[in-house]
Amino acid sequence: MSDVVSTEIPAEGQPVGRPSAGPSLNMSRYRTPLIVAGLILVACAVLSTDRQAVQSVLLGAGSGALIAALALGVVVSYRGSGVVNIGTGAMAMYSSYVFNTLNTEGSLLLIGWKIHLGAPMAFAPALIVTLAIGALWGAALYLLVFAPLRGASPVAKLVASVGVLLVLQAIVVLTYEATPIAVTAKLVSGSVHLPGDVIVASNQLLLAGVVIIVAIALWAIYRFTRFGLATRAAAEDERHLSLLGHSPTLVSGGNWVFSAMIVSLFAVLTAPINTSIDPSTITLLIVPALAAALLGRFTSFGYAVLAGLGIGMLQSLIQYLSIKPWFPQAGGAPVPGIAQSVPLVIILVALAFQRGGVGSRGSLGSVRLPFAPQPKYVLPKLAGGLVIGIAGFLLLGSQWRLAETNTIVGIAICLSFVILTGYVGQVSLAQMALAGVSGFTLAKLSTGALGLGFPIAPLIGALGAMVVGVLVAVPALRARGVQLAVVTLAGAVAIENLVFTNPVWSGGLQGASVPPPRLFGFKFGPTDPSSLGGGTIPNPWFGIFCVIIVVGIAALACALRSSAWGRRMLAVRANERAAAAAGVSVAQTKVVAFAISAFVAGLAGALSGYRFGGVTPQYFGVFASLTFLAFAYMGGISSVTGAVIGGFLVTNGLAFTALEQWFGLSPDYAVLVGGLGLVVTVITNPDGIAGTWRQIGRKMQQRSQRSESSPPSDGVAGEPGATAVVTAFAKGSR
Amino acid sequence: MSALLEARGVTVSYGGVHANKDVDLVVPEGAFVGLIGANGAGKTTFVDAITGFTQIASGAIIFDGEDISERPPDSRARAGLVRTFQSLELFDDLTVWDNLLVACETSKWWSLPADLVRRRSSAVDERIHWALATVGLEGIGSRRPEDLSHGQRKLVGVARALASRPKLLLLDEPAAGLDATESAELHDVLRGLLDQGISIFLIDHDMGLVLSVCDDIYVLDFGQIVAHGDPARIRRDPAVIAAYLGDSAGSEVAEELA
Repeated sequence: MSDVVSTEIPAEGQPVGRPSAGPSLNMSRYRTPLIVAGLILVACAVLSTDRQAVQSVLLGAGSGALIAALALGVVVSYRGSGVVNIGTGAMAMYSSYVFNTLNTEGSLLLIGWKIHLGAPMAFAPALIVTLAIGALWGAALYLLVFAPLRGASPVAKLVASVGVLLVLQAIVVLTYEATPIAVTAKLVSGSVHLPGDVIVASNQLLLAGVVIIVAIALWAIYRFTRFGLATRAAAEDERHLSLLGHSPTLVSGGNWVFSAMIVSLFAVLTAPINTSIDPSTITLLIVPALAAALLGRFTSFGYAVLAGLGIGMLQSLIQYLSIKPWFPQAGGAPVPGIAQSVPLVIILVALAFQRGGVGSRGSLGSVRLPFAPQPKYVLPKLAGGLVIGIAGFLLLGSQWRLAETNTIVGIAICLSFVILTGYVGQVSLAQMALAGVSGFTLAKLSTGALGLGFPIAPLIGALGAMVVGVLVAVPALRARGVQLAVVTLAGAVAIENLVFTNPVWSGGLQGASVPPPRLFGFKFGPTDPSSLGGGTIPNPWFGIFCVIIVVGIAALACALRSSAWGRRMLAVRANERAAAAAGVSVAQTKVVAFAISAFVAGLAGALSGYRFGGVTPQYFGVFASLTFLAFAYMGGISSVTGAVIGGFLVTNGLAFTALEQWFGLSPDYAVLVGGLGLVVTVITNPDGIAGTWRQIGRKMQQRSQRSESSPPSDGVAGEPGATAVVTAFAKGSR
Repeated sequence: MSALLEARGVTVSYGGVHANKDVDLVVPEGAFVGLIGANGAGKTTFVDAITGFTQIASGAIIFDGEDISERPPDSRARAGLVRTFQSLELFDDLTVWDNLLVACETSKWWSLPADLVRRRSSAVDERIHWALATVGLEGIGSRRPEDLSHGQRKLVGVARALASRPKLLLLDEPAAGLDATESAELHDVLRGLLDQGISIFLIDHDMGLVLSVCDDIYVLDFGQIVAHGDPARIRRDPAVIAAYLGDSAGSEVAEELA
């Protein structure tokens, strides 16, 4: 397995083996875009005999223009600040709401509040106001979030942008609900007749034209102006830029304003074509946009725009072809999700051809990773957790037991993040998709002809998730950090649309049901009647079952951290070059981390399948992955304690139930809190709440040690500060 | 003495530029071999090529009787060919002790379940104590690299390489960034290693250090070996003086060195 890795193992920020040849020398960077463009051309030539096919391709120009614009936005903010902004689509989505509110209600949408201005605004003034608001958002996001992160690792910046996505989406959902609202604005009407009886709506072509003009304008600005020169210099090394008397803040902030205005413009212009807007559609267009931006190596405007338009057109063509009789069928309908999987395929192809990493650039400051302490007092902690967890299910009322179940399942998912992101430093945005692979496998196995029951079906499910996780790890051996996050995001979208909504494989949009677990006739499903808990649901035995499983997972995570594998993982996280020099197989270590993490996510998926008596594509959707990532980070991404805290924070978990019960806070605010918490955690406290807790514990321990004054002995691995509470607990248990 | 490491015609090219060209070099078992050259002569490229961090365009690398040219860096390290880095490349998140442990422990993925419950062997602990003692850093095992001085961190890098009990230790500019006292300490440490039976290949541009500790010295200039011999011969070699100080610098430096 160790032979999979190539001999070139560049450290973050310093590629070895191949010093960057000048861009003009390096033809290989153009190879992938050319291949893709060539394929599209060939496809067009073949289909040119089919008038409707050509028409469908041109019909994709509108959505392609929005993808292209988002790709431009991604490229601009990346070049300006080194941030691969996952929230670019959410920024566009937010602007489409700002515009529509002005256009239909005459109100100004400011963060979560609407200010009534008067009569509904006409198209042009509404567009100008929207662009102004977009520019403000761009500037504010840079100054508040990404300027403080200037010295952080590319992955930390990307994770913060996930927080931005969640916050913007939560604001819109809280203000407008998640349901689509109609857009009445018109751009231009009429259509264009092309040779060969091809008729296209003029606004589609107009949009494609405008986005190309914007790209050319951007190219000219970056090529010929002082601002562009400064940006290019910043992309090389921000230190040099400040030495030359430019303000990195001004240059990067300016690029963020540009980025926000471009995506806002096209969000407004394309909304009339789609006739409605909702909080998630445009937000998720970030996935094809990232694919397009990646083809241009996050730096080329030309390839980003061409690839963006190409993806939009290809998706439209696939939509048209899906009505053909030869198109693959599932359950009497065309196989869903093929169009949504196009970005994943493009990203994988691009990564296969491109060498070197995205995200390595000279920056100010040093990179600090979240601290992953050696767990101490493991057995007392686990025993305490087991006792408290079981006591909760025996003593709490129905609603609190439901909340505790959510917390317990949430801890399992957070633990899967701890193993992958905390220990080995790889960010996956597909953990819930992996959980879903297990959940849907469980549903499939335990119903129908197979009828496999507990515990075989959930174990096979978790092993299935592990297999998919290892498959994800294979591109991860080439793609590191930011690229890996992009791959997993695209993978999550593809799995959700291709697998989970497939009526034959999974159960369609409604999902599939999971029968309650049975073991030797003992019924412990959440809805099974039981003498415990006063006969109300959920059955406490189910909760106790979940506690046992999750304490087992926590024990696994602690043992892993203390083992040779855990040290190797942290070594890989800290420095891949040095790890390889110390004889560590970087590839093997990553694959093992992916496998364990996916297995844990799979167990969580099976637990949630039992908990709801079924599985749905939405529960395992990409937004769920992002939200759980946020809570895992808030709790503390690199320790088991952090995962436990993260579990308390998850949507409908104990913390939010408490807030709802005691303070009347709607659980709808969970995503907003998660997004904000993620941003604040990444900026101010990478160790999360667990880290803060640890520091308090260390201070208290130091205070008590001052009286005892025992010097630390040599050879004791790990850090001295366990939490005060646990120290006390351990002392008491001796 | 049989050859432990042998480079045969090693060529490394970066986009048409030869960073190393036809380098032939032998490190016999139990020897202390040096490689010197001015900055930019291609020394670190050669170390990268030997240890698998960069691909060679042509040639072969034979280690312990085996052609390792195609093997990845971690596999070469496990075979006993262990390097240090010019820049500090420690695992900042791990304690000094754990930094060394990583280099000591090897296991296969199928032994993962057993590894999760296994306790550390005392043999490994002894080896780490020995490695830390050899570089003169007993008692800092529980500290983290960020709490150490630059010189100490350099020595931890050497100790980490030693902890895996290498057959051949490749030291890439170990003296870079050290002050005079630290450099002298390093000198003693390196001499001591040879007595323990570890073969050493020292790469440095500090001619004084290399001349004083090595038995056999190669001189690299513009990616090619320009001189080879014992310290006395290298001191007098006009090609070496030219490589270091330019053609015109001439004899007075040679006299001074001699």
